[in-house]
Amino acid sequence: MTLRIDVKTELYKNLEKYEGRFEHLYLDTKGRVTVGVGHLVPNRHSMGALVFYKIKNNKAITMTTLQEKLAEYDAIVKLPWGQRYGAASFKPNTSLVMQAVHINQLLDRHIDSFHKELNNIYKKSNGYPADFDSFHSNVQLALFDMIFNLGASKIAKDFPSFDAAIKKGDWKRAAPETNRPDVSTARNQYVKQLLLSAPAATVTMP
Amino acid sequence: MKALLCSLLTCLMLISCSGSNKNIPPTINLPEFPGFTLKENVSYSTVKLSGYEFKSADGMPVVYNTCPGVTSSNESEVAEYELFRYRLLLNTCHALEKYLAAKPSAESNFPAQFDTRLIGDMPATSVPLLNKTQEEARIGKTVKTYFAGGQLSLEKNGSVKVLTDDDEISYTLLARGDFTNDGVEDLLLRVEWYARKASGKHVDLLILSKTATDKPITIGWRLMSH
Repeated sequence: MTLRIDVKTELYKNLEKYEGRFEHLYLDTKGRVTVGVGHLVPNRHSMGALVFYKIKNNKAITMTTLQEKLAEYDAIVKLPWGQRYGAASFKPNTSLVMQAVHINQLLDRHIDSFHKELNNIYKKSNGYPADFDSFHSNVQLALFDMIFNLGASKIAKDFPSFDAAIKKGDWKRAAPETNRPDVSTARNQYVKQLLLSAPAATVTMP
Repeated sequence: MKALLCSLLTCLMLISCSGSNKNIPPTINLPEFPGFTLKENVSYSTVKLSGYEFKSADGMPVVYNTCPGVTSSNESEVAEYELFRYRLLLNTCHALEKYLAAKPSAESNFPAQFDTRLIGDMPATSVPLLNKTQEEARIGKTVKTYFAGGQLSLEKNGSVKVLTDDDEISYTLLARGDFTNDGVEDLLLRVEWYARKASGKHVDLLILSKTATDKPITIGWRLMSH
Protein backbone atom coordinates (compact mmCIF):
# COMPACT_ATOMS: atom_id res chain seq x y z
CA MET A 1 0.00 0.00 0.00
CA THR A 2 2.32 2.71 -1.25
CA LEU A 3 1.17 5.91 -2.82
CA ARG A 4 2.88 6.72 -6.12
CA ILE A 5 5.22 9.70 -5.90
CA ASP A 6 3.54 11.54 -8.80
CA VAL A 7 0.17 11.25 -7.00
CA LYS A 8 1.66 12.38 -3.69
CA THR A 9 3.38 15.38 -5.29
CA GLU A 10 0.12 16.46 -6.90
CA LEU A 11 -1.77 15.98 -3.61
CA TYR A 12 0.74 18.21 -1.81
CA LYS A 13 0.24 20.91 -4.42
CA ASN A 14 -3.55 20.63 -4.33
CA LEU A 15 -3.91 20.61 -0.56
CA GLU A 16 -1.72 23.68 -0.22
CA LYS A 17 -3.92 25.40 -2.77
CA TYR A 18 -7.15 24.43 -0.98
CA GLU A 19 -6.03 24.91 2.63
CA GLY A 20 -3.16 27.40 2.35
CA ARG A 21 0.18 26.82 4.06
CA PHE A 22 0.97 28.73 7.25
CA GLU A 23 3.94 28.17 9.53
CA HIS A 24 2.26 30.06 12.41
CA LEU A 25 -0.90 29.34 14.40
CA TYR A 26 -4.12 30.96 13.24
CA LEU A 27 -7.87 30.73 13.86
CA ASP A 28 -10.03 29.47 11.02
CA THR A 29 -13.46 30.97 10.27
CA LYS A 30 -14.96 28.86 13.08
CA GLY A 31 -12.36 29.98 15.61
CA ARG A 32 -10.47 26.68 15.62
CA VAL A 33 -6.70 26.80 16.15
CA THR A 34 -4.97 25.68 12.96
CA VAL A 35 -1.40 25.44 11.59
CA GLY A 36 0.46 24.21 8.50
CA VAL A 37 -1.75 22.92 5.70
CA GLY A 38 -5.14 23.05 7.43
CA HIS A 39 -3.98 20.99 10.41
CA LEU A 40 -6.43 21.48 13.29
CA VAL A 41 -5.04 21.74 16.82
CA PRO A 42 -8.12 20.49 18.71
CA ASN A 43 -6.99 21.58 22.18
CA ARG A 44 -4.00 23.09 24.01
CA HIS A 45 -2.69 19.66 25.01
CA SER A 46 -2.24 18.80 21.32
CA MET A 47 0.44 21.49 21.15
CA GLY A 48 2.80 19.11 22.97
CA ALA A 49 3.09 16.87 19.92
CA LEU A 50 3.88 19.72 17.53
CA VAL A 51 7.38 21.04 16.89
CA PHE A 52 7.67 24.82 16.97
CA TYR A 53 10.65 27.14 16.81
CA LYS A 54 11.22 30.64 18.10
CA ILE A 55 11.91 33.29 15.50
CA LYS A 56 14.83 35.70 15.56
CA ASN A 57 15.61 38.02 12.66
CA ASN A 58 12.92 36.22 10.66
CA LYS A 59 14.66 32.87 11.13
CA ALA A 60 13.41 29.88 13.12
CA ILE A 61 16.26 29.25 15.52
CA THR A 62 15.43 27.55 18.80
CA MET A 63 13.10 24.70 19.53
CA THR A 64 10.45 25.72 22.05
CA THR A 65 9.47 24.32 25.41
CA LEU A 66 6.01 22.97 26.15
CA GLN A 67 5.29 26.08 28.26
CA GLU A 68 6.10 28.36 25.33
CA LYS A 69 3.87 26.36 23.01
CA LEU A 70 1.00 26.45 25.48
CA ALA A 71 1.44 30.20 25.95
CA GLU A 72 1.29 30.65 22.16
CA TYR A 73 -1.90 28.59 21.98
CA ASP A 74 -3.48 30.52 24.87
CA ALA A 75 -2.64 33.84 23.23
CA ILE A 76 -4.00 32.93 19.80
CA VAL A 77 -7.23 31.38 21.06
CA LYS A 78 -8.21 34.70 22.65
CA LEU A 79 -8.02 36.66 19.39
CA PRO A 80 -11.11 37.65 17.38
CA TRP A 81 -11.91 35.41 14.42
CA GLY A 82 -14.46 35.07 11.67
CA GLN A 83 -15.11 36.40 8.20
CA ARG A 84 -12.84 39.43 8.69
CA TYR A 85 -9.79 37.46 9.79
CA GLY A 86 -7.78 35.53 7.21
CA ALA A 87 -5.02 33.14 8.29
CA ALA A 88 -2.25 35.58 7.36
CA SER A 89 -3.71 38.29 9.61
CA PHE A 90 -2.70 36.28 12.71
CA LYS A 91 1.02 36.36 11.92
CA PRO A 92 1.79 39.61 13.82
CA ASN A 93 0.28 38.03 16.95
CA THR A 94 2.49 34.94 16.88
CA SER A 95 6.07 34.32 17.96
CA LEU A 96 6.53 30.65 17.07
CA VAL A 97 6.78 28.91 13.71
CA MET A 98 6.79 25.36 12.38
CA GLN A 99 9.51 24.39 9.96
CA ALA A 100 8.72 23.03 6.50
CA VAL A 101 9.81 19.52 7.42
CA HIS A 102 7.36 19.34 10.31
CA ILE A 103 4.51 20.87 8.32
CA ASN A 104 5.17 18.20 5.67
CA GLN A 105 5.12 15.46 8.29
CA LEU A 106 1.63 16.53 9.37
CA LEU A 107 0.55 16.66 5.74
CA ASP A 108 1.94 13.17 5.13
CA ARG A 109 -0.01 11.85 8.09
CA HIS A 110 -3.17 13.47 6.77
CA ILE A 111 -2.67 11.98 3.29
CA ASP A 112 -1.77 8.56 4.71
CA SER A 113 -4.93 8.43 6.80
CA PHE A 114 -7.16 9.19 3.80
CA HIS A 115 -5.11 6.78 1.65
CA LYS A 116 -5.85 4.03 4.16
CA GLU A 117 -9.57 4.84 4.02
CA LEU A 118 -9.56 4.84 0.22
CA ASN A 119 -7.81 1.45 0.21
CA ASN A 120 -10.46 0.06 2.53
CA ILE A 121 -13.33 1.25 0.34
CA TYR A 122 -12.08 0.89 -3.22
CA LYS A 123 -11.08 -2.73 -3.59
CA LYS A 124 -11.97 -5.52 -5.96
CA SER A 125 -13.59 -7.51 -3.17
CA ASN A 126 -16.01 -4.58 -2.61
CA GLY A 127 -17.14 -4.72 -6.25
CA TYR A 128 -14.82 -2.09 -7.73
CA PRO A 129 -12.90 -2.83 -10.94
CA ALA A 130 -9.56 -2.95 -9.09
CA ASP A 131 -7.92 -2.13 -5.77
CA PHE A 132 -7.36 1.58 -5.17
CA ASP A 133 -3.58 1.42 -5.63
CA SER A 134 -4.07 -0.15 -9.07
CA PHE A 135 -6.31 2.67 -10.32
CA HIS A 136 -4.88 5.14 -12.84
CA SER A 137 -3.30 8.13 -11.05
CA ASN A 138 -6.01 10.47 -12.40
CA VAL A 139 -8.72 8.34 -10.78
CA GLN A 140 -6.75 8.17 -7.54
CA LEU A 141 -6.42 11.97 -7.48
CA ALA A 142 -10.13 12.46 -8.16
CA LEU A 143 -11.07 10.06 -5.34
CA PHE A 144 -8.63 11.78 -2.99
CA ASP A 145 -10.25 15.12 -3.82
CA MET A 146 -13.71 13.76 -3.05
CA ILE A 147 -12.71 12.12 0.23
CA PHE A 148 -10.71 15.15 1.43
CA ASN A 149 -13.77 17.29 0.86
CA LEU A 150 -16.65 15.03 1.87
CA GLY A 151 -15.34 12.09 3.86
CA ALA A 152 -15.96 8.46 3.00
CA SER A 153 -19.47 8.03 4.35
CA LYS A 154 -20.83 11.11 2.58
CA ILE A 155 -19.52 9.92 -0.81
CA ALA A 156 -21.40 6.64 -0.42
CA LYS A 157 -24.58 8.21 0.99
CA ASP A 158 -24.96 11.43 -0.97
CA PHE A 159 -23.09 10.67 -4.21
CA PRO A 160 -24.57 7.24 -5.16
CA SER A 161 -24.40 7.86 -8.93
CA PHE A 162 -20.72 8.72 -8.63
CA ASP A 163 -20.11 5.57 -6.59
CA ALA A 164 -22.05 3.42 -9.08
CA ALA A 165 -20.02 4.80 -12.00
CA ILE A 166 -16.74 4.15 -10.18
CA LYS A 167 -17.89 0.58 -9.47
CA LYS A 168 -18.39 0.08 -13.18
CA GLY A 169 -15.05 1.66 -13.98
CA ASP A 170 -16.94 4.22 -16.06
CA TRP A 171 -14.81 7.29 -15.36
CA LYS A 172 -16.60 9.39 -17.98
CA ARG A 173 -19.94 8.82 -16.31
CA ALA A 174 -18.42 9.49 -12.90
CA ALA A 175 -16.93 12.84 -14.00
CA PRO A 176 -20.09 15.04 -13.91
CA GLU A 177 -21.19 13.41 -10.64
CA THR A 178 -18.20 14.93 -8.83
CA ASN A 179 -19.65 18.45 -9.01
CA ARG A 180 -19.83 20.09 -5.59
CA PRO A 181 -21.05 23.65 -4.97
CA ASP A 182 -18.84 24.06 -1.90
CA VAL A 183 -15.64 24.04 -3.95
CA SER A 184 -14.49 26.46 -6.64
CA THR A 185 -15.41 26.15 -10.31
CA ALA A 186 -11.71 25.60 -11.07
CA ARG A 187 -11.50 22.70 -8.61
CA ASN A 188 -14.67 21.12 -9.99
CA GLN A 189 -13.29 21.40 -13.52
CA TYR A 190 -9.96 19.93 -12.47
CA VAL A 191 -11.58 16.84 -10.90
CA LYS A 192 -13.89 16.35 -13.88
CA GLN A 193 -10.96 16.55 -16.28
CA LEU A 194 -8.99 14.02 -14.25
CA LEU A 195 -11.73 11.46 -14.77
CA LEU A 196 -12.51 12.40 -18.36
CA SER A 197 -8.88 11.96 -19.35
CA ALA A 198 -8.28 8.72 -17.44
CA PRO A 199 -7.94 5.64 -19.64
CA ALA A 200 -10.91 3.27 -19.50
CA ALA A 201 -10.77 0.62 -16.80
CA THR A 202 -10.59 -3.03 -17.67
CA VAL A 203 -13.60 -4.57 -16.01
CA THR A 204 -13.82 -8.33 -15.62
CA MET A 205 -17.41 -9.49 -15.93
CA PRO A 206 -18.54 -11.79 -13.11
CA MET B 1 -32.62 55.24 0.21
CA LYS B 2 -34.04 53.71 3.31
CA ALA B 3 -33.33 54.50 6.92
CA LEU B 4 -32.20 51.65 9.09
CA LEU B 5 -35.36 51.04 11.01
CA CYS B 6 -33.67 49.53 13.95
CA SER B 7 -31.46 52.09 15.61
CA LEU B 8 -27.87 51.21 16.30
CA LEU B 9 -28.44 51.76 20.00
CA THR B 10 -31.16 49.20 20.30
CA CYS B 11 -29.89 46.73 17.78
CA LEU B 12 -26.71 45.55 19.42
CA MET B 13 -28.61 42.35 19.90
CA LEU B 14 -31.55 41.28 17.81
CA ILE B 15 -34.91 42.40 19.07
CA SER B 16 -37.66 39.93 18.40
CA CYS B 17 -40.80 41.17 16.79
CA SER B 18 -43.50 38.58 17.11
CA GLY B 19 -47.13 39.08 18.06
CA SER B 20 -50.08 40.74 16.45
CA ASN B 21 -48.60 44.20 16.09
CA LYS B 22 -49.74 45.75 12.79
CA ASN B 23 -46.43 47.36 12.15
CA ILE B 24 -43.53 45.12 13.09
CA PRO B 25 -40.36 46.78 11.84
CA PRO B 26 -37.54 44.76 10.30
CA THR B 27 -34.68 44.07 12.69
CA ILE B 28 -31.07 43.20 12.10
CA ASN B 29 -28.60 41.14 14.14
CA LEU B 30 -25.76 43.66 13.97
CA PRO B 31 -22.97 41.55 15.51
CA GLU B 32 -23.28 39.29 12.47
CA PHE B 33 -22.29 42.21 10.20
CA PRO B 34 -18.77 42.84 11.52
CA GLY B 35 -16.95 45.78 9.99
CA PHE B 36 -20.11 47.06 8.29
CA THR B 37 -20.57 50.78 8.97
CA LEU B 38 -24.32 50.93 9.39
CA LYS B 39 -25.54 54.44 10.17
CA GLU B 40 -28.91 56.11 9.83
CA ASN B 41 -29.93 56.86 6.24
CA VAL B 42 -27.37 54.62 4.59
CA SER B 43 -28.15 52.74 1.43
CA TYR B 44 -26.80 49.38 0.26
CA SER B 45 -24.16 51.04 -1.90
CA THR B 46 -22.97 53.52 0.73
CA VAL B 47 -22.37 51.05 3.58
CA LYS B 48 -18.61 50.93 4.13
CA LEU B 49 -16.81 47.68 4.90
CA SER B 50 -13.64 47.70 6.96
CA GLY B 51 -11.08 44.97 7.56
CA TYR B 52 -12.00 42.75 4.62
CA GLU B 53 -8.67 41.79 3.12
CA PHE B 54 -8.12 38.55 1.26
CA LYS B 55 -5.17 37.04 -0.59
CA SER B 56 -5.23 36.34 -4.29
CA ALA B 57 -3.84 33.08 -5.70
CA ASP B 58 -0.46 34.77 -6.14
CA GLY B 59 -0.45 36.19 -2.60
CA MET B 60 -1.46 39.75 -3.43
CA PRO B 61 -3.95 41.59 -1.19
CA VAL B 62 -7.56 41.80 -2.39
CA VAL B 63 -9.54 44.39 -0.43
CA TYR B 64 -13.31 44.91 -0.51
CA ASN B 65 -14.68 48.23 0.79
CA THR B 66 -18.32 48.02 -0.29
CA CYS B 67 -20.93 45.32 -0.80
CA PRO B 68 -21.49 46.14 -4.48
CA GLY B 69 -17.73 45.63 -4.83
CA VAL B 70 -18.13 42.16 -3.33
CA THR B 71 -21.26 41.06 -5.18
CA SER B 72 -19.91 42.22 -8.55
CA SER B 73 -16.58 40.43 -7.98
CA ASN B 74 -15.70 36.92 -9.05
CA GLU B 75 -14.64 34.34 -6.50
CA SER B 76 -11.61 33.51 -8.63
CA GLU B 77 -10.16 36.84 -7.43
CA VAL B 78 -9.25 35.22 -4.12
CA ALA B 79 -7.01 32.24 -3.38
CA GLU B 80 -8.81 28.90 -3.11
CA TYR B 81 -8.12 28.66 0.61
CA GLU B 82 -9.91 32.00 1.08
CA LEU B 83 -13.03 30.84 -0.80
CA PHE B 84 -15.17 30.01 2.21
CA ARG B 85 -14.36 33.27 3.97
CA TYR B 86 -15.13 35.14 0.74
CA ARG B 87 -18.48 33.36 0.52
CA LEU B 88 -19.29 34.28 4.12
CA LEU B 89 -18.76 37.93 3.20
CA LEU B 90 -20.78 37.50 0.01
CA ASN B 91 -23.65 36.05 2.05
CA THR B 92 -23.46 38.90 4.55
CA CYS B 93 -23.63 41.46 1.76
CA HIS B 94 -26.66 39.79 0.21
CA ALA B 95 -28.22 39.69 3.68
CA LEU B 96 -27.68 43.42 4.08
CA GLU B 97 -29.35 44.06 0.73
CA LYS B 98 -32.33 41.91 1.74
CA TYR B 99 -32.61 43.65 5.11
CA LEU B 100 -32.52 47.14 3.61
CA ALA B 101 -35.28 46.18 1.18
CA ALA B 102 -37.45 44.50 3.86
CA LYS B 103 -40.86 45.89 4.74
CA PRO B 104 -42.56 46.06 8.13
CA SER B 105 -44.76 43.04 8.80
CA ALA B 106 -48.41 43.08 9.82
CA GLU B 107 -48.03 39.78 11.65
CA SER B 108 -45.51 37.13 12.63
CA ASN B 109 -46.02 33.41 13.05
CA PHE B 110 -42.48 32.76 14.23
CA PRO B 111 -41.71 32.54 17.94
CA ALA B 112 -39.75 35.37 19.54
CA GLN B 113 -36.98 33.01 20.58
CA PHE B 114 -34.42 31.75 18.08
CA ASP B 115 -33.69 28.40 19.67
CA THR B 116 -33.23 24.68 19.15
CA ARG B 117 -36.98 24.09 19.00
CA LEU B 118 -37.40 26.50 16.10
CA ILE B 119 -34.43 25.01 14.22
CA GLY B 120 -35.76 21.49 14.78
CA ASP B 121 -38.92 22.54 12.90
CA MET B 122 -36.99 24.01 9.93
CA PRO B 123 -37.17 22.08 6.66
CA ALA B 124 -34.20 19.67 6.34
CA THR B 125 -33.50 21.20 2.93
CA SER B 126 -32.43 24.39 4.72
CA VAL B 127 -28.96 22.87 5.20
CA PRO B 128 -26.63 23.95 2.35
CA LEU B 129 -27.19 21.35 -0.34
CA LEU B 130 -24.39 19.59 -2.20
CA ASN B 131 -26.52 17.94 -4.88
CA LYS B 132 -29.95 16.78 -6.01
CA THR B 133 -29.61 13.48 -4.12
CA GLN B 134 -29.28 15.33 -0.82
CA GLU B 135 -32.20 17.57 -1.68
CA GLU B 136 -34.51 14.69 -2.61
CA ALA B 137 -33.63 12.77 0.56
CA ARG B 138 -34.56 15.79 2.69
CA ILE B 139 -37.75 17.00 1.00
CA GLY B 140 -40.76 16.77 3.33
CA LYS B 141 -38.59 16.29 6.41
CA THR B 142 -37.65 18.68 9.17
CA VAL B 143 -34.21 19.12 10.70
CA LYS B 144 -35.49 17.18 13.73
CA THR B 145 -36.73 14.21 11.71
CA TYR B 146 -33.99 14.07 9.07
CA PHE B 147 -31.14 14.42 11.57
CA ALA B 148 -32.82 12.22 14.21
CA GLY B 149 -30.16 11.31 16.73
CA GLY B 150 -28.31 14.57 16.07
CA GLN B 151 -27.72 17.02 18.91
CA LEU B 152 -29.10 20.56 18.79
CA SER B 153 -27.57 23.21 21.01
CA LEU B 154 -27.72 26.96 21.45
CA GLU B 155 -24.30 28.59 21.08
CA LYS B 156 -22.93 31.61 22.98
CA ASN B 157 -23.40 33.89 19.96
CA GLY B 158 -27.07 32.92 19.65
CA SER B 159 -26.55 30.49 16.76
CA VAL B 160 -28.03 27.02 16.90
CA LYS B 161 -25.69 24.11 16.20
CA VAL B 162 -26.79 20.74 14.85
CA LEU B 163 -24.23 18.01 15.39
CA THR B 164 -24.37 14.57 13.76
CA ASP B 165 -21.68 11.90 13.28
CA ASP B 166 -20.66 13.37 9.92
CA ASP B 167 -21.90 16.96 9.94
CA GLU B 168 -21.86 20.16 11.93
CA ILE B 169 -24.52 22.65 10.87
CA SER B 170 -24.86 26.14 12.24
CA TYR B 171 -27.98 28.34 11.95
CA THR B 172 -27.54 32.08 12.55
CA LEU B 173 -30.35 34.62 12.49
CA LEU B 174 -29.29 37.70 10.50
CA ALA B 175 -32.53 39.64 10.28
CA ARG B 176 -36.31 39.50 10.62
CA GLY B 177 -38.78 41.34 8.42
CA ASP B 178 -41.15 40.93 5.52
CA PHE B 179 -38.78 39.88 2.74
CA THR B 180 -41.45 38.18 0.60
CA ASN B 181 -43.87 41.09 0.39
CA ASP B 182 -46.89 39.26 1.84
CA GLY B 183 -47.22 41.24 5.05
CA VAL B 184 -46.03 38.31 7.18
CA GLU B 185 -42.69 38.29 8.96
CA ASP B 186 -39.90 36.09 7.55
CA LEU B 187 -36.51 35.11 8.92
CA LEU B 188 -33.22 35.71 7.13
CA LEU B 189 -30.72 33.03 8.13
CA ARG B 190 -27.14 32.09 7.39
CA VAL B 191 -26.70 28.33 7.44
CA GLU B 192 -23.21 26.83 7.49
CA TRP B 193 -22.30 23.20 6.94
CA TYR B 194 -19.00 21.61 7.98
CA ALA B 195 -17.91 18.03 7.30
CA ARG B 196 -16.68 16.62 10.60
CA LYS B 197 -14.47 13.93 9.06
CA ALA B 198 -13.22 15.95 6.10
CA SER B 199 -12.48 19.55 5.12
CA GLY B 200 -15.74 20.38 3.28
CA LYS B 201 -17.68 23.48 4.27
CA HIS B 202 -20.46 25.39 2.65
CA VAL B 203 -22.68 28.35 3.45
CA ASP B 204 -26.08 29.49 2.25
CA LEU B 205 -28.40 32.42 2.92
CA LEU B 206 -32.10 31.67 3.24
CA ILE B 207 -35.42 33.39 3.74
CA LEU B 208 -37.75 31.24 5.83
CA SER B 209 -41.49 31.90 5.83
CA LYS B 210 -44.38 30.77 7.99
CA THR B 211 -47.72 31.99 6.73
CA ALA B 212 -49.82 30.71 9.65
CA THR B 213 -49.07 29.32 13.10
CA ASP B 214 -50.26 25.86 12.09
CA LYS B 215 -48.39 25.85 8.77
CA PRO B 216 -44.90 24.41 8.33
CA ILE B 217 -41.87 26.64 7.81
CA THR B 218 -40.99 26.95 4.13
CA ILE B 219 -37.97 28.26 2.23
CA GLY B 220 -39.00 31.42 0.40
CA TRP B 221 -35.63 32.08 -1.22
CA ARG B 222 -32.04 30.89 -1.06
CA LEU B 223 -28.81 32.29 -2.43
CA MET B 224 -26.95 29.14 -3.41
CA SER B 225 -28.04 26.56 -5.93
CA HIS B 226 -26.46 23.13 -6.24
